[in-house]
Amino acid sequence: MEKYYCDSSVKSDAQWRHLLGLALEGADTVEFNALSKDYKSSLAEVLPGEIYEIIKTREGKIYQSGDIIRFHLSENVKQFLLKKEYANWKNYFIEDVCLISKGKEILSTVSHENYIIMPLSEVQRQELNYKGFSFDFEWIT
Amino acid sequence: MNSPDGGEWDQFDGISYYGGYGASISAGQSYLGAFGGGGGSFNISGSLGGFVRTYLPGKQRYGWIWQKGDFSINFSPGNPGWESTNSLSTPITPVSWLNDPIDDIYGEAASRVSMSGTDIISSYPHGYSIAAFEGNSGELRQWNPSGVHNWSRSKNFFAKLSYNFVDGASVTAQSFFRGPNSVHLTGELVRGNDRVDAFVNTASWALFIGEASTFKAINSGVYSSRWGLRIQAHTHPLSPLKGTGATGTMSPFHFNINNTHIIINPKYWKYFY
Repeated sequence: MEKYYCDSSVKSDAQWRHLLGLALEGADTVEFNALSKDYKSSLAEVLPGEIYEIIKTREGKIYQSGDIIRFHLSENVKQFLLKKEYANWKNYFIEDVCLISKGKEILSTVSHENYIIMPLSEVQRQELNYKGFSFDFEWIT
Repeated sequence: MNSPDGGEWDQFDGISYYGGYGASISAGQSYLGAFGGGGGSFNISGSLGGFVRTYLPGKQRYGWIWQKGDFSINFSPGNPGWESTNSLSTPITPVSWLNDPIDDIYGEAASRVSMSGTDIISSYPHGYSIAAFEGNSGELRQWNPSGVHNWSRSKNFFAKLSYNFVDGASVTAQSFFRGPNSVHLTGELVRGNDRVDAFVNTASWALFIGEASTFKAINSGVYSSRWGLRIQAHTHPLSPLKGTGATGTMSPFHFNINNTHIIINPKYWKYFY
């Protein structure tokens, strides 16, 4: 049975890319939380032409702060995610990367806390922890 | 009506005081009313407490002003012992001078004397004579603080802060075109280190405001990219420390100062600190 677990130990970009890679295999949507209030002009610069939704609230979201900005995971958006180093998401004008597959969050982050939250079975959790991750605490909202 | 030593009361529009009780006015001048040109002499020596207790009962506060804000004394009949006003939260202040000649006449000692009415007694035991000012036509009259004066003397932190800011900016600006004639908002001439203080104060505020402008509002807080400083107050699940017995995240209200959490509710402290 899957539960959401939180890892607060990830420091290296390699670890982040490992988890990001796993999630991107099945994800179809990505969401961010808007940190700054004037994010629209910045979005037009970094992802020109990409259509996004602004969602005020979404029930069941792992972590929301401010507006939710949702993109379909196009190739452009995927490259945007892959180009950015893990540490640089912290305090970025949109942060808290959240990858979704068929409506289910499969990788969520709280950038300012260095939290990565994933739905894992006990076997998956142990496998990741064996690789150096620390998914030690169940995410309880 | 005569005063105890025979002088006249209400000679002009106020009280005449001809000595006694440790304080004296020579040359028969009045406290309230005009000084005659050239001849006025006002000596304060020893205690004024007797004078206050005897002749000015029932008033909450008096102030005296020499010419336009040159010289003022405040005292509280609630604590009429002149010497003991050192301990008052509102001491016998301000005593300030618009005209620089006092320094020429009395030197540094006079500057100290002029800083506080209490000092007139304590550090100038032989009394202080207004007669020393040549051409001393003017008046010693009751001083009624204006709104600006009250603002300048406020003990309230924010009022004092705002006065220092506005006055500092005013003095600094005047320094460019009024030079030695610069005045405070209260009308008092800028003296001594006032100009330096005003500049430092204004510069500090300018720096503060400049820095504050680098902060931008974020959700439930502020963030400065310049300083890499993020301050946020919110609630969301937090990952506890290992070994505290917790198996899952908890959601205490907390402040984030960058990566530091300040958790308000002590019941969570054992899990996070």
